[in-house]
Parts: sequence; C-alpha cells; structure tokens
Amino acid sequence: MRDDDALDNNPNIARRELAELHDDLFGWSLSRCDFDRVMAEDLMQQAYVEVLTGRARFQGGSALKTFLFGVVQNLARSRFRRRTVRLRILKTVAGERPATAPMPATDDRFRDRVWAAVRALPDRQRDITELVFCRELTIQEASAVMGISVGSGRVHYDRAKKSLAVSLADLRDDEMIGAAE
Amino acid sequence: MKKRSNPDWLEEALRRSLRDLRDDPPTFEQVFTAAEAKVARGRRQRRTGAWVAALAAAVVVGVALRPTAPADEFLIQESMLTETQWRAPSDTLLPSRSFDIYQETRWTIPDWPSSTIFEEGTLL
Repeated sequence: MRDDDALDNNPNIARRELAELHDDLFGWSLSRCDFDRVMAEDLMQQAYVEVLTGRARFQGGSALKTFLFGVVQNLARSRFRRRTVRLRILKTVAGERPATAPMPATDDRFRDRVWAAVRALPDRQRDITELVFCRELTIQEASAVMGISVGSGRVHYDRAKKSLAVSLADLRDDEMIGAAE
Repeated sequence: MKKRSNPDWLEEALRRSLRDLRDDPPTFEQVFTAAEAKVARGRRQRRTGAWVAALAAAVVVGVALRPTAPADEFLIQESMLTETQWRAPSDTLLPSRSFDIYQETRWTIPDWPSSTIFEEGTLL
C-alpha cells in the first residue's frame, strides 16, 4: 500500500521513515568519512538524492535501514574514497594528527578507550563491530550492508570480538566498567 | 573482585560505549531539503540542456536544408552562349610545376653526332 508521504520515484519509502532513520544514517555516514562532518553531510545529501531520483530503488527485500546503510556504504566506496584518501594525505603532509585512527570526540575515557580499540581493528572487523553494536543491526543485516556473505560476516565478527577481548582485557575490571555508568 | 565472563563483559562494554555515540547530526529537514533542491536543479539543467541541443539540431537542419540560389543550381543557356573564354579540361590535370629543360644546365639536349661531309649528295 502506498504511503501518503511516499517518495515519487521510490514508492516503498516514506519521508517519515527516512526522518526516523536520519540520525543513525548520519552516524554511519560520519564513520564512512573518517568523521569529517562536512563530507558526511555531503554523503547523506547524495544518498537522499539517489533515493529521491530512484537510482537507488527500495523493493522491500530487506529492512529500510539496511537498504539505506547500503546506499551510504556504496556511495562512500565509489564517490568519497578518493576524496577521503586525498584529504588524509593532505592532513599527513600538513603535519596534522595522524589520520590512521579517526575518532569521534567524546568526554568519556572508558568510551574513548573502547572506540580506539574498535578503530584499530582491520576495516571489515571494525565495520561489522560498529554496525552491530553502535548501529544496532544484526550480523545478517550488517553483512548485507557490507556486501559480504553472512558466513564471512560471522567470521569477521568473531575475530573482532577476540581481538577486542585481548586489547581491552585491562578494562575487564568491574570497577572500570562501573566508572562509565 | 569478581570478573564477568568474556562474551557478556565485552558485548556489554561495546554496547554501552558505542550505542550512544552520536555527533549532533544536522536536522533531517535541512539535509533532505538540500537534496530535493539538488534534484530539482539537476532536472532544470537537464531540461535546459535538452532545449539547447534541440535548438542546435534545428539550426543545423535548417542550414543544411536551406534552398540554394537558382543561379548556382542551374545552367543558364544565355550565359553559356555569350561566354567567350574556354579552358581545356585537361589544363586542370597538368602538374602545377614543371621544369624547362632548355634552361637547366644539368638537363641539356645531348649533342648528337653530325657530319658535314657530303657523299653522293647526302650527309654522312
């Protein structure tokens, strides 16, 4: 059934649903752009353009959230990869902080420590960890967003958890966890 | 101090640390309106481009189909009869450059052997 505020070229997407997923999608866009806010906004806008023009058409085969995350992922891969790399090189040449582990700004030491450990993981392990724990997708949905099989997704997820268990072993103390609460 | 089992502890730590990680996103209206404006602008540009292309095509077709002047198209009997100049068609086929063998020092007519001695009323 067509929603009242369904998009013209994407009748299975309602504007209201997009608004509900907006914050999550922006978080994912930020992550795709090394937490460069301007680029993330640009990426979001381009994702909406793809949806509005119907170039990315939602058929209802997956959850809308999975579909939109996939659109952002594909756009970031194709359009923003070169810009991100160029920006990273420029920052490195200009002598700014190394951009190997970009992180969102937080004021929580525990959270910073966990996030730094996640950012230090290999790309796919980091992405699936972020999608599952931060963006609250299932492993199956996260695998679909990343364009890999569910089996591969599970392998990356398990490896990521093992690596994190080692790198965050010192935070295992109840007191440390309690401090964040 | 009691330590939690590995999977529970790690998952809880990750969930708590990463779930609320938000970076003050721009409003949906702001981004979506900008996207709509971009789509509309693209449509307008495509429409303008199509008009320009159609206009250019029309000009080209118009120029190609333009009727030529009758004087250029047909032979006029009167002008043919009053024409006093004529050029041989072969003139155009001749090479544009030639050399004069009589002027060139390298290309001289060979001296053929000749005789001034008469023998029985004829030159030898």
